[in-house]
Amino acid sequence: MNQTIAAIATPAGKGGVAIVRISGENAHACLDKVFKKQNMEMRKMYYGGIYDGETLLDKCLCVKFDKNASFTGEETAEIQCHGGYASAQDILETVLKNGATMAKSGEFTRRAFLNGKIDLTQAEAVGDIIDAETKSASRAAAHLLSGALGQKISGFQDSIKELLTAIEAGIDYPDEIDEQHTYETIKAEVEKMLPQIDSLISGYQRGRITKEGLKVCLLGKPNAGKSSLLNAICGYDRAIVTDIAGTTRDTLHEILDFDGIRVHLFDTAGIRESDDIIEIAGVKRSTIAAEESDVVLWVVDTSEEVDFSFFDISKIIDKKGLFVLNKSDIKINNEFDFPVDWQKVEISCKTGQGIDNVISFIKSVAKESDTSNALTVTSQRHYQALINVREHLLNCLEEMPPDILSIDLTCAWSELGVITGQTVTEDIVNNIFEKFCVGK
Amino acid sequence: MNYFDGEFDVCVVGAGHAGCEAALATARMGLKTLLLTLTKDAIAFMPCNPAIGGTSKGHLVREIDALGGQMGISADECAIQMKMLNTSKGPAVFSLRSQADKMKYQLYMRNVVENQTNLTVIQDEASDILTENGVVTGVVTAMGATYNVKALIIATGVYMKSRIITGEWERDCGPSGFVNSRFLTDALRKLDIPIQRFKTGTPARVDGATIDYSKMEIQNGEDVPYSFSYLTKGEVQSPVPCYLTYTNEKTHKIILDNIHRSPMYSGNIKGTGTRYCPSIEDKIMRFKDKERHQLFIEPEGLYTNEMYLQGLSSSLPAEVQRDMIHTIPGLENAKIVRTGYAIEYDCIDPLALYPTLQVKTVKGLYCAGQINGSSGYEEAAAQGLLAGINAALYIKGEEPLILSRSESYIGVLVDDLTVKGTNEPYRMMTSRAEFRLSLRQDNADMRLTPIGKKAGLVTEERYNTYLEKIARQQQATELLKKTKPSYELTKRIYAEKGLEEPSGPVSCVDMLRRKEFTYFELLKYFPELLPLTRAEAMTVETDIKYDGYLKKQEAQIKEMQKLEKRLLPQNVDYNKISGLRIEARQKLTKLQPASIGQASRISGVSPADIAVLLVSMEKGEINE
Repeated sequence: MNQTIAAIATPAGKGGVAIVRISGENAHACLDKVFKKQNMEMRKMYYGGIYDGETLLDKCLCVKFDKNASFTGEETAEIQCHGGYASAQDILETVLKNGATMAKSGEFTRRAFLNGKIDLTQAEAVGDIIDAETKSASRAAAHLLSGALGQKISGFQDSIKELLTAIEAGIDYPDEIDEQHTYETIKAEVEKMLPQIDSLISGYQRGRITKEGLKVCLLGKPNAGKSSLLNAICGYDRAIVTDIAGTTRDTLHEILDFDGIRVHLFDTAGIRESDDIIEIAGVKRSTIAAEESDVVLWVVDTSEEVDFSFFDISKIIDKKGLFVLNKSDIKINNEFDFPVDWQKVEISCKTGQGIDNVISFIKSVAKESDTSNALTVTSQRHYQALINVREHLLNCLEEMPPDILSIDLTCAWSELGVITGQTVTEDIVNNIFEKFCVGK
Repeated sequence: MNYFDGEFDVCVVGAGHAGCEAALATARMGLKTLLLTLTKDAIAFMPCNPAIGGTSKGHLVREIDALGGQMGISADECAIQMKMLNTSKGPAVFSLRSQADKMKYQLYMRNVVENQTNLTVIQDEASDILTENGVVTGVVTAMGATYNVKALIIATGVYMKSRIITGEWERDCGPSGFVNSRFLTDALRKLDIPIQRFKTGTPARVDGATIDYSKMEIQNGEDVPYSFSYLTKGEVQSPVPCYLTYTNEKTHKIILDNIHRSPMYSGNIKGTGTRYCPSIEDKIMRFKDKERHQLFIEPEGLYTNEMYLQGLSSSLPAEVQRDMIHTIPGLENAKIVRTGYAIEYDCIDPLALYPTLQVKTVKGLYCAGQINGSSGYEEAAAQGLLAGINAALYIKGEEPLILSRSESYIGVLVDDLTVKGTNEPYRMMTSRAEFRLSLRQDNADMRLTPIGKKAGLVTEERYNTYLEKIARQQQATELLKKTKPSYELTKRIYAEKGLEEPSGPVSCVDMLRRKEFTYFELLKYFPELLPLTRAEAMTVETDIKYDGYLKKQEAQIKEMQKLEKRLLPQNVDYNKISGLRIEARQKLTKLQPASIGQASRISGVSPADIAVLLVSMEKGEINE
């Protein structure tokens, strides 16, 4: 029987709906663990929550196919979740935690083909697809290898290769290898690698940003046009807009998808001195929202006198921010004493002028945050490979004889090879004869 | 003058380790067999080290035995020391090695082949191969005899156009001065079989009476008896020791000062040597920093004083060999009675063979042993056995026997040779077996005896022994599961072992999963368990202890087998298949792999090429 595999079946990035597909002998069992519907009939859609343990990830439509009626010709399940990168990623990760392994490039198609499930025309394309994927994968690997991360991964591969060479040489030439690689030396080497692997895994930020989304807070005095800006960014009326200052009394939260990146927009109550208890509470929330955000859009009404003294600037001084100079169509003021050295953008919520600039600012921040660190694992496949590497290395800490350790080390090496595109066996044999003087 | 001298089903050329197994296999499978040998005094001759088995090779011997071959029984019979290697390195790599009495081994095997029903042994030199329409029909000898045969197995070892060299001295002959085979290379070339030239070598032998053993470390065999064959009752003892000594700077200086006189470095030898059996001069040249190299002094047998200097293979001139040996502790006054030499010989490119060991282009023609580019007695015997079985199955019109990488070391050996090829003498290594936890020496019978039975080589006696053994193992496993001690007893046992107190009673099978317990320890606590032999206990214990790893390996094996079962037809012109890369087209057309699995192991064939092949099969461009 085939291993159960899973992957996001829809194209990456923006889209209304994303599909996570699971295929293999435990596909149904795997779905049952995250989607708690009893006795699902085949080929019928069910609506419900996908859970990671107790945490609700998304409300989704799920369907099971038996092997006679599935794309791959194997037991299959599909989860249709909300589009955008983050939701589907979260669901996939949960599925992977519950008995599926990450599908290799083109693996669904390959299985479909091997099981005779796709017809001739489709079949003709398979070679091309796999070829293209191989090429792009090797291009990606080459690109990666030139970087700091690639060097680090190759470093792990080299260390493991050394260990394996020593173990194998010792096994095949027990009379001749003086320096035995004992369990202790292997353990020491593995223990050196593990924290580094761990840090790569925990640093896996599809970033925190792609994972949790970018938090953007609209800040400003009452009636500066924060709610109007929110509506302009959303493209529809989310907030109630009036001329009465202080209409927004609570923090509004809207989720948008910018090129596959989830963006949380928080519209806050305007900040000013007030005696109104409700308004005071609102102001307090605004302050907290600003503190917790990644980006602050400080909306300034240029049609009136501007002063920034109402807010304790120290709380947001380190954040990425933008001064949004609203009401540029009727502005009276050009000279402000800005308390922080942020970019400024002139807009008019009325005419829509400048809104695009605000949006591209948000996008650029989101993008920057995700690619800022060269030593960060950003691919789901690489992440999964590292998780598997860790599992195999952890097995090596169990006190096992060398031939068993070699199984886990070989697996760890192959998993790293998923990232670097290098593979094993003959290598070790060659290495033995380069490193050791053995043979009768 | 040529003369007709009889009809045989099978002729085996060469009576070394491959030839003996091949001839015994075909004869035992009921076929009238002729065994041709250059000299009857060299039947089952061991021209190099006096040992059978060792790492991975011990596995091969067990597998040969499990299939119904001869080597295990003979090795047990002629052993003067048994040693189980790698006992601390895990169950998959336990390897049995025997020191063999070489002369006794030859006599024993000669007795076996001469007394085998259906087998005729004749001393003559095979000189030509007769074929009609791509099918073998006969063999001709140098003395002019013609034999009509249905199948021919060439197992000439290192004897084809061989030449031995020591320094500036050389001689056209086989190992140890035996005559060589002069004509078969050309006969094979005539059949378009590609020929390669390989090189190997052997160390000097010295007179044991001139060795000072007090300066060496003694190396004894096992206290407990082991045997290769599942049929060997009685106990194989280890009365004779080996000795260990080391080279030193003086030795190395003599070698370096004379390296220009080594035929390998002077260019006198053109053949490709093996990394697996390097000469001492190779070791010194390649590992200049190494201060000393170890030497094992091994007895050649009980009826001779000759001692084998394992680790000192050399083709330096005789007087240089003498001088370097005299620098070694314990060998200061040692008298060389046979000088070490290098040997160069013709062999075929094994890519010309199917995994049945039949030549792809000639039906009924098989090659086995060192002629296929391998090295080692055990590798040779394994191929001889497989070629013999397949020649017999071919004549009987039955399905051939192909052993896979996932069921045996023999499968790995033959697959490596016939799919990947080799450009140096190939040695078996445990590292070559990707599923080695499943391919243990203790379970060779479970893997192969049913296969040998089906092929028709396994006798009733062997099969019954096997059935009884697995029945006992199953019963023992059941008893382990059933035997659940009280909580009190569990606690006491754990306390005695210095283990943390368990939260409840633990069954015997669960105790055995822990590394702290062995089967025999449990047997002491629980007399109701089944008393097993050490070999049986090893299998039972390993299957339980490493269950998780074994299951994972089983899953990997199943994945692999899927691709092995997608068979490719022969004589496909892969150049016509669009989408294949050029390198893949050439390699596939040349090698004609039998299955998608095989194709995927050919160097230069990428996963994308495999996808294209699958597509082409589906489209009917390649018909099964």
